[in-house]
Amino acid sequence: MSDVLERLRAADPLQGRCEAPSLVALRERLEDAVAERRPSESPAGRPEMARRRALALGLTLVVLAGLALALVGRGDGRLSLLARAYAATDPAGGVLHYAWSSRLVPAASTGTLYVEYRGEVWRSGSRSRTVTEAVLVLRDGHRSVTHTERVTEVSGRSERYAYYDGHSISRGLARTARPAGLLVCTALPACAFSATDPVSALHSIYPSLHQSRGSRDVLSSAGTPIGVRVYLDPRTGDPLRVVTRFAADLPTPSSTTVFRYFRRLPLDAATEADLRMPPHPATARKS
Amino acid sequence: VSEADRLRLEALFVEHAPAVHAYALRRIDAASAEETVNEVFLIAWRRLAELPEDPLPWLLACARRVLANERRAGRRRSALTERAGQEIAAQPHPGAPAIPDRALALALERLSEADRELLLLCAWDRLDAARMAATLGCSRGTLAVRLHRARRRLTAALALVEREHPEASATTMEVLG
Repeated sequence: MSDVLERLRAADPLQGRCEAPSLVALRERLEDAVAERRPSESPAGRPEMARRRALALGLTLVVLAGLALALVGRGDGRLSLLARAYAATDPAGGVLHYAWSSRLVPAASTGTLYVEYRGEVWRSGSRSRTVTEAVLVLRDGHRSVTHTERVTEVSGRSERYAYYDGHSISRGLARTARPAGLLVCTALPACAFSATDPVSALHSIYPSLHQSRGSRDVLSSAGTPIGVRVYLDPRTGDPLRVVTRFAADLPTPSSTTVFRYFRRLPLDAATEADLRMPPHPATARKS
Repeated sequence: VSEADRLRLEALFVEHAPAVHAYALRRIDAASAEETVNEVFLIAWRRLAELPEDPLPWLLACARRVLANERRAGRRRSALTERAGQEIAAQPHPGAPAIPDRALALALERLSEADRELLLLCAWDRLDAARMAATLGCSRGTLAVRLHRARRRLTAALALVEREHPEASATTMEVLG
């Protein structure tokens, strides 16, 4: 009879081919559900008993919220490594401040030997400021350095940005096909982790990762030619190092990203200033 | 939505949505499967305080109920299928992915919904006994007996199908190589 179960296992129509569902769709549904609830929860005309119940519910939620936050902060094992890692990428009302350096090695056929990036990010809610320096090294020995700075504010499906690269400055409103701030990092994770904001890339790729067998601190991908390994602080879930590799026969880049630091700061006047774009150096010189 | 609730729900989603999605994808078409996953996690959000320490069986049981409601709603929409009643309930969803083993697919259609669900939870969703029992809301002892009987019935149904439909067996042999 055990053959029947084995045969049934072999006939699984998915055979492990199942993409992680989109968290974006859930967020949209959640916002709709909250919006639907709101009118019936107006306190005007609510009977006394219902008001007391609402108060009790509110207090319970505050206590639960405190417990949940304490749990996330402590990382005491009740949340899995994946859940802790995911929670760690959320500023949760404060400011995430982190810096990384990475090396992107393109496929052998290109003229680029490697690109080194150094970056620093301040992120709070939908706002972020990213400062990066890229050093491009060509096979013929040529080197070039580019400094860029970008401030963004994501709103729905658009992103307001200010950007300069040392020579020019631009501001605008970018409309994106998907909610802004989410990177399509499964296409080229090496680029997403190196050239842009690695934590933003991690936030969107985490749903497709799982804890590596026998490890306490590694999340990795499986079932695709793209190999992503994320090394984490097992207690807090903070990212320490991200390594991306492709299958040998794919002419695509690989990368190693190391977080120099990763910390949470309160949202105050000092961090508000960090989140704003400083005046362009040229403007500063004129004034 | 409080920040803590949202965070907890998203952590829950990241950890368990792939399993719930796979569960739904094996039983319904892709678009409805994604809708089912969202529905399950919205229910989870409304009942966050009730979630057990190991939430996966709770989420799968919820997905099972959502799919059953979907099937019932579908039946209500069609007077013809309404008349077919229980007979239709045992059929797999028309949009569900095809099982490559034809004989096995025919044998599964001959089982009751309860037997089929039990066997699929074990073979496809790879749940252990404790999680299966929690998903189906029974004790582990009862589960062991029900699983033993379901396997026996599937073996018998398979033997019958292979006798009645030798061409299905041939297809099966091709699939299995």
